[in-house]
Amino acid sequence: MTRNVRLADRLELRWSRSLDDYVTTMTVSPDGSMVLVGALSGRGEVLDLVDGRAVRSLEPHPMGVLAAGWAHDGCRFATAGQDARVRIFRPDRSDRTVTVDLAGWGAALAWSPVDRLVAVGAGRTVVVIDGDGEEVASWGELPSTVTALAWSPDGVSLGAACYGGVQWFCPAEPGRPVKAMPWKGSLLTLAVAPNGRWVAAGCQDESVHIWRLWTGDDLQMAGYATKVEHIAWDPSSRYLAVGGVDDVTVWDFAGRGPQGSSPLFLDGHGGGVTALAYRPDGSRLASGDAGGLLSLWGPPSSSPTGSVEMGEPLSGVSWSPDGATLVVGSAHGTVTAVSVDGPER
Amino acid sequence: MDPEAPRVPVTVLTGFLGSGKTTLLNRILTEQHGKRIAVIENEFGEIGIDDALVVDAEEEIFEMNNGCICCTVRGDLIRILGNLMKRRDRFDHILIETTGLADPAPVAQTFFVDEEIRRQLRLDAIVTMVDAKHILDHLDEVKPDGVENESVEQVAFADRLIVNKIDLVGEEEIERLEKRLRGINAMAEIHRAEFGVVDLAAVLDVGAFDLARVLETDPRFLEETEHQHDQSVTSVGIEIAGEVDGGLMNQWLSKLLAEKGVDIFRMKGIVAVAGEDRRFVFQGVHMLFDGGPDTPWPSAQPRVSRLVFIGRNLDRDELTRSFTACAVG
Repeated sequence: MTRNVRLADRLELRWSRSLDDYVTTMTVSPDGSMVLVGALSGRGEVLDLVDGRAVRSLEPHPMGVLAAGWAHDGCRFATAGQDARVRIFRPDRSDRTVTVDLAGWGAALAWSPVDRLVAVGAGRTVVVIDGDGEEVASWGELPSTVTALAWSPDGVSLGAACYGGVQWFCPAEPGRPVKAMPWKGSLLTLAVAPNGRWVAAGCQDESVHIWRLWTGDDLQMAGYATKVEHIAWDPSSRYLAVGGVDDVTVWDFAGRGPQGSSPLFLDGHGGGVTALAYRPDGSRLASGDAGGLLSLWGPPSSSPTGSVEMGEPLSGVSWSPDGATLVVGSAHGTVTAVSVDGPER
Repeated sequence: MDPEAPRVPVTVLTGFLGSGKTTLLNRILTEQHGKRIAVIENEFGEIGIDDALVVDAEEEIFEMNNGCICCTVRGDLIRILGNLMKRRDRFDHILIETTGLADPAPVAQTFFVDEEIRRQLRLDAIVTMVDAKHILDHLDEVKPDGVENESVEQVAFADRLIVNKIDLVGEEEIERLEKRLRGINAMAEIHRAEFGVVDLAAVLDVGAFDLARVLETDPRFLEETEHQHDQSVTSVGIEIAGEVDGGLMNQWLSKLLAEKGVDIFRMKGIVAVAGEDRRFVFQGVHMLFDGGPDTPWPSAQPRVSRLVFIGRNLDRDELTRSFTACAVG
């Protein structure tokens, strides 16, 4: 059941499909033709973005798929799961799948933005694997379980979020971390600004911690009502959106950064923001919540340009590269494609 | 995640390796057949566990930046409980089996500090298994300075103490042991067991952290006259007749928790506040505190305030004196 609330942007349900349980991950392929989805039911699928037809139907991790993603060139995709395995697939061939054992739940996964390398966080280890399943580098004995991974935009270094801060690794220099950004707290999510200047982490202690990537100088935005698990940079790297309980806050990084400034509050959510993503052209921010509301927001403005009640608690969103389609996951296992026909497009 | 859904109870099972935790776990799983139960294990048990989702976890203790110096939580539990609660097939009960070396405080505090966990789960009780034959050795073990005796902490934090393997010791020894346990923790109910066989009603759905059930706390602790002065972890019960001033009591509690929160493991209380028809109830773990007005005082019952503290180096006289100073008139 969907119902359009406001119509500045036309949001239209295109198709939906059930994966039986909480949809943990959804990513549209770089060419925009398919979407890779995974769920706690253990199911993982590649769906045609036009009609939702399953191009590949997989059961990659019986206990649950926790993370997945496409290589930057679209020639591989990978899934990681609760069975302590990562699997690397070729979209064109089903007989060339490789499986690599991990040290724990495969909870974090990030493909390099420039190379065909995938980084996976499992327990207190990080491993980087190439497109053929060969291990390129690995690091162990991190201070805690790795909760999130993010590459620098040049693909040279890889950040791992855990308790105690961000550890940076270079696959070309296996061994110790090349840099540490300490923070006495538990980091839950990690996002590097597309311009490579900032790195942001959502924290268990109800704050967002920000570092300047090259100097390591840091600042903190505290006072959220709950732990921060959802953050997103806009493509210009000027805005950082942070999911709260009843609202989204947007921090402005123009000039000297947001220190001492007030964020823009995007009100209207309820039950916890569970999904955040900027449209690739930066013209819209999509946000979703545990109450089932999906909203779109224009460049910094506090009223939505469109919203729709999806009828199920949302678990994530992903834009197609052309910004015409939003793939929305739900906690009840539904994947829905919503076409977005906004005036800016 | 239906916001109206009842919170799922979580039982924490502590005790030394060999005390019989896994035996009790298996009994719960067998007798609660039909319920969906998940088990989070921090050590591989002596025997396997059947018929339940079992998740192995490595203990990760995180300090919280909330201005509370003793506030630590269990990062592994936050992560795993979060994962379990996302699943469509929500569990009816979750059991956490800690290692014999685990500090119960971060486990309990996890349920106070994390909003998502607070919303979806409720800590039902801390159940500590003790091995009747060996527990005294563990309790008496002298640790280097600054190192906690984990078995003393596990006894002190417990809502239920299961004295297992009573078949291996004589009645006299059991009584001596129970007296010792009660000296540390006067609040917990003690149950005797052979081969982990204990009435599950004593272990499940205890509601030990439920404010509404603070009132059900057995007031027997006040009848204990025998205090052991040779141990640093003890229970202190305070009872004063009449009413206390609400403002003074708040100041007293804030000051007490700020100064002594590190040493106070558990506390519970029912207080008669002047000008308030309802009973004020509270409970806490270290500096984390939960309290509020509950049901009205029955008209026939005298208005009496009862408090109990379990902790390290508690000064009974000073606690009694400072609380009595909050009394009205």
